[in-house]
Amino acid sequence: MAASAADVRSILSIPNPPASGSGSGAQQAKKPQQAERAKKPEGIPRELYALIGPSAPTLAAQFAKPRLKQKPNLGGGGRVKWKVIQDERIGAGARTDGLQLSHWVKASTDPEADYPFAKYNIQPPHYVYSQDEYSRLLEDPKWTREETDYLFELVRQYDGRFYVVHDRYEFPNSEGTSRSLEDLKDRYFSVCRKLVRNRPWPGDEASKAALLSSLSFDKDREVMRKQYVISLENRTPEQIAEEDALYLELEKLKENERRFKKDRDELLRTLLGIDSGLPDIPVDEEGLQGTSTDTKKKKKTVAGSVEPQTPQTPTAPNVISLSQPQPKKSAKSAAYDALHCIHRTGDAQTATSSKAPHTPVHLRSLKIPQPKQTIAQRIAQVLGELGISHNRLVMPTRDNIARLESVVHDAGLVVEKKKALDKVEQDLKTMKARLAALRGEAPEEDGETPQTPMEVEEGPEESVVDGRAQSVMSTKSTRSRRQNNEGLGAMPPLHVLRKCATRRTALSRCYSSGPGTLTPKHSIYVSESTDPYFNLTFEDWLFRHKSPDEPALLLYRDSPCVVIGRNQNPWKEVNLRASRRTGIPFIRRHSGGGTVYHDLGNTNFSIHLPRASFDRHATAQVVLKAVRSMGVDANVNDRNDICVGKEKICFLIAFLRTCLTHTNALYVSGSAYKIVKDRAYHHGTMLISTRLDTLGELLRSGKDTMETRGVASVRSPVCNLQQYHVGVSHEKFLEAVIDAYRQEYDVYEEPHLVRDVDGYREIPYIREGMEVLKTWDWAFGQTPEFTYKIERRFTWGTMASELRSKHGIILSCSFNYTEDMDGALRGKLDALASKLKGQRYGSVGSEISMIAEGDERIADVWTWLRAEMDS
Amino acid sequence: MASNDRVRVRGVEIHRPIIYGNTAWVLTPKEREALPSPDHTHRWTVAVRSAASAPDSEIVGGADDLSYFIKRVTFKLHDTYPNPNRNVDKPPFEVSETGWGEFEISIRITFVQESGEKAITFYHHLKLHPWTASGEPEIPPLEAAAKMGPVHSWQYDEIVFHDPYQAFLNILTAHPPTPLPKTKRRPIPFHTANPGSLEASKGGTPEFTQEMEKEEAERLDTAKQKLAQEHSRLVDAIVKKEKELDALKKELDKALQAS
Repeated sequence: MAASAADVRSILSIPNPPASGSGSGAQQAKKPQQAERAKKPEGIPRELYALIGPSAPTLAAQFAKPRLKQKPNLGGGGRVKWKVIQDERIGAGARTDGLQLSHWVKASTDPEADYPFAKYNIQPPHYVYSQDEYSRLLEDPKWTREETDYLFELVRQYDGRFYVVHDRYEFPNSEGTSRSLEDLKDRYFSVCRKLVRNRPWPGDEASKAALLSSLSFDKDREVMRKQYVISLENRTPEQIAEEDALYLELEKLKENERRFKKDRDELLRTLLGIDSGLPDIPVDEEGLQGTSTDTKKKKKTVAGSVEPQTPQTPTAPNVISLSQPQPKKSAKSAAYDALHCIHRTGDAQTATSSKAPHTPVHLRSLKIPQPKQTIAQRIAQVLGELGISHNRLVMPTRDNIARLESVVHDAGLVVEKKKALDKVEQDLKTMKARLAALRGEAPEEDGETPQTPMEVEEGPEESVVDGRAQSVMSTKSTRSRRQNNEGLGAMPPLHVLRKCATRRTALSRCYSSGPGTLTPKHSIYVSESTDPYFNLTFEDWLFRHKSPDEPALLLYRDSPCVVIGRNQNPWKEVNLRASRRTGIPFIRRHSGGGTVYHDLGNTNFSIHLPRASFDRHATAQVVLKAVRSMGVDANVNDRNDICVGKEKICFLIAFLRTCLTHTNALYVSGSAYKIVKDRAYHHGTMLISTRLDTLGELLRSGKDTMETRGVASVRSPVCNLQQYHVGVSHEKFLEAVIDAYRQEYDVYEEPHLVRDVDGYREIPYIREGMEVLKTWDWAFGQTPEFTYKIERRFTWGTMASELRSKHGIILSCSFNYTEDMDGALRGKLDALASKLKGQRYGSVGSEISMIAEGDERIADVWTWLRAEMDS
Repeated sequence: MASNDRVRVRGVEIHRPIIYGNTAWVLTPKEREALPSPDHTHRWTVAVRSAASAPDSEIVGGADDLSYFIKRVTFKLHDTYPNPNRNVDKPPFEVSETGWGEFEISIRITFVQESGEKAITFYHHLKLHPWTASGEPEIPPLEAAAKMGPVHSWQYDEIVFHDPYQAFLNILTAHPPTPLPKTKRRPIPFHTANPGSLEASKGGTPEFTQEMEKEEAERLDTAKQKLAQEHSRLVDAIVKKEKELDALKKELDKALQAS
């Protein structure tokens, strides 16, 4: 309807020509007009009255009080002022392209307010996906990654208006076929659905389902629907006529049927008093004529897809209803179930038929989900940051467990994404380095200087040595100690633990004040040093200071040395004379296990893991994988040594070690204490080109009569890796182990080189640790109790002796002599024995020699004993 | 009816809310002297009870008598206690002792014969020393601990029966558990999975409520939302880096061709 000139004027606030006046004059201008037509009856619209004019027919009276709803009063009824705004507000709120538009607004609107329509300018959510998501979920043989990207870009550009997207779609398709609108929609929505399904969903399941259903797209159905529409459009008049005729005929038949049934019902009721049992035919409400224009129904008829109505036989006794009445959950029974804590799983029908084993009674909390071992630690970490425990709930109810499960699942996804991000970043770094190298620039310094201040991490451990805990530890029965030894591989004796703890206490004090301390923040370390003291201490430092939930790998080589286990007896394991002659030292390491020989021909590795994810087989597999990747057909034996055939090429020396930390189970009623196993490591040595002859010489002691309470080494045949594969070298082995380790533990870090100049030796823990390794107290003084029985035939008679030693100190020395020994000799032997008591085994002070003076036989005995202890 | 007794009611899962744990009190010097073993510092009670607390009761939980489905509870104490396996055949299912240290107590619940179920075993760490905010245990001097009042360590859990026998189901439904109170009336039982509840756990005998379940559900939902945010942030970061990587790759190829 065209507006009259007066309307336009009033809208634009232009004063009417006859009425002179200001902007508000329009209001006054009207009044005289209305006064002029004072007769205009109420209820007649102004426009209508203007048309019929004052010569309104008498009928007007009938309109006087029409029973119509009153018009809503929208504003000032023409008294509104309008103005044009050249508006950057429109741009600010709603546009990103900087286009400026001007439009009319009411003069009364606040010019500072936000553009009111900006809130309707909502971008549909735009989905992006990463390479790993694409390759994991979104692969489609008909689509390439590039084309999918192109499609998503277009959809984003045109806000999901698929007609436009289809129109603009110009991707050079390799097959040469053009994509239909359905193809595009199908691809787009299927990708979106997969992304939504495989990503954490912040809301509840219902909203997720709602979103998914909004993203659903059935391509086949859509194509079929369009085909139908096309065929409907393309019918010829003859076809339409034929359809109509057929439809009429069908209706007639139905009508006859109904009439027949009605008649028969009536007849039977009157004669026999029963129903006919004939199926009801629904009465078509619309009748025959009403359908002639209904194309939908005709369509159905043509397609012959009118579904036969299910016979409704509410009164027929001879028809048995086959469908089970679904037990409907009334509000009452729901309340009953809630009261009695009953949950109906609903598969009552299937459960009876299936032979599924009975689920025994259990605590609900047992069903708390356990994440996969490999990422459990990371999940725990992610959830810990959010203040959620990944395996405990305050109220483990059905709902909360389900919630926790989805949270844990989402955390798993986040962990995966974090890994992917690390990988991409790593790739980016290497790419940059390559590019820089190619351009001849100095490569960027990517080795972050590990010069961050050390955090004191050992605070709570100090309390391990408080009086009570200490006394408990010392009263611990040997039985449980042995259990620990079995359980943990090799546990150092208790007093050493205490000593270690004290040492650490002192050290942690140093850390807090000492400048220039380093933290083990890398995950792969390769030591350049060949100093065994340094390498062993570094390993220990790494073990104790590395964050407990990250894995670590250390690789190093040592200059020739013999390394004995924590609880071994050097006098038995090491040929000390050969050691002195060759100048090859022996070192007691911190971990338990047997004795090995190190030289530059073998490569040592240690894999540190959180206790929870530690698996001795898994670590052996890492090394095995590395060896196999070098082309050697190796296998792992049941002691987790790596062998080729029957011969060992690699020892996995000590398999784990525990870190003593304070826990909430520190001491218990009576006697027990708990060591928290929060970290463990596995270390071993790979024989690549070791001097097997030196090895044999140094590890032979021949003291069969020496019985030690500690751990004795098991000798096994060994050979070098190079015997099987000439190309194997230290460097190649390093690479292979690092690769295998990265794959196993998803680490994408470059190895960190431990150089002497980096100041690691200045770390107080390492400096002091290295000193400790060299002391007599550590090297010999940590020897467990042992007894040594020896016998010797002298020219003057046969002498047998038994030496007992603990912690390197001679506990007792006894002599067995034949009856004919004279009293003077006996006395001297007793004096010798009592002098020896309390002396250090193997380095008895020279004052003992005084006793030997004067009697040749005593001198013989003493020389003999000293030689035995010294070897 | 008798023939129905050994028939399992399929598709039904029925549970009973229980709590297990301990309350510990510091002994006064006088009490200690009276003991045969004066090195004991605490008196404690370990128990299995129904989750809801009886009104005005001084104990945690225990509103219902659980003996209608629990035949026996066996508490296995530390070996140093005389006769460490304590069988409790009638309610209250609890053991009180004195001691000076914390340890794991193995709790074994045997069900009534009608259930046809095997016994279940789980563990409780006897808690004597007050909870701390850091989670790191610290052992305060006895005088200070005595002032802080009894220590409560309780775990809510549900015993879930699947497809119970009709007879057993009848027994269970004859004893509906007292529902947990909807709102908080007393302090919250502290739990390490929710360290934030430490303050709210102070000041009297705690009680389990439905509010706690809701509160935990909310915490989990919040975590879920945060995880989703984190995830989308990571995805964005990855996509961005991948684009950067692609650009670099192209650059590298160009550089390789040039050289």
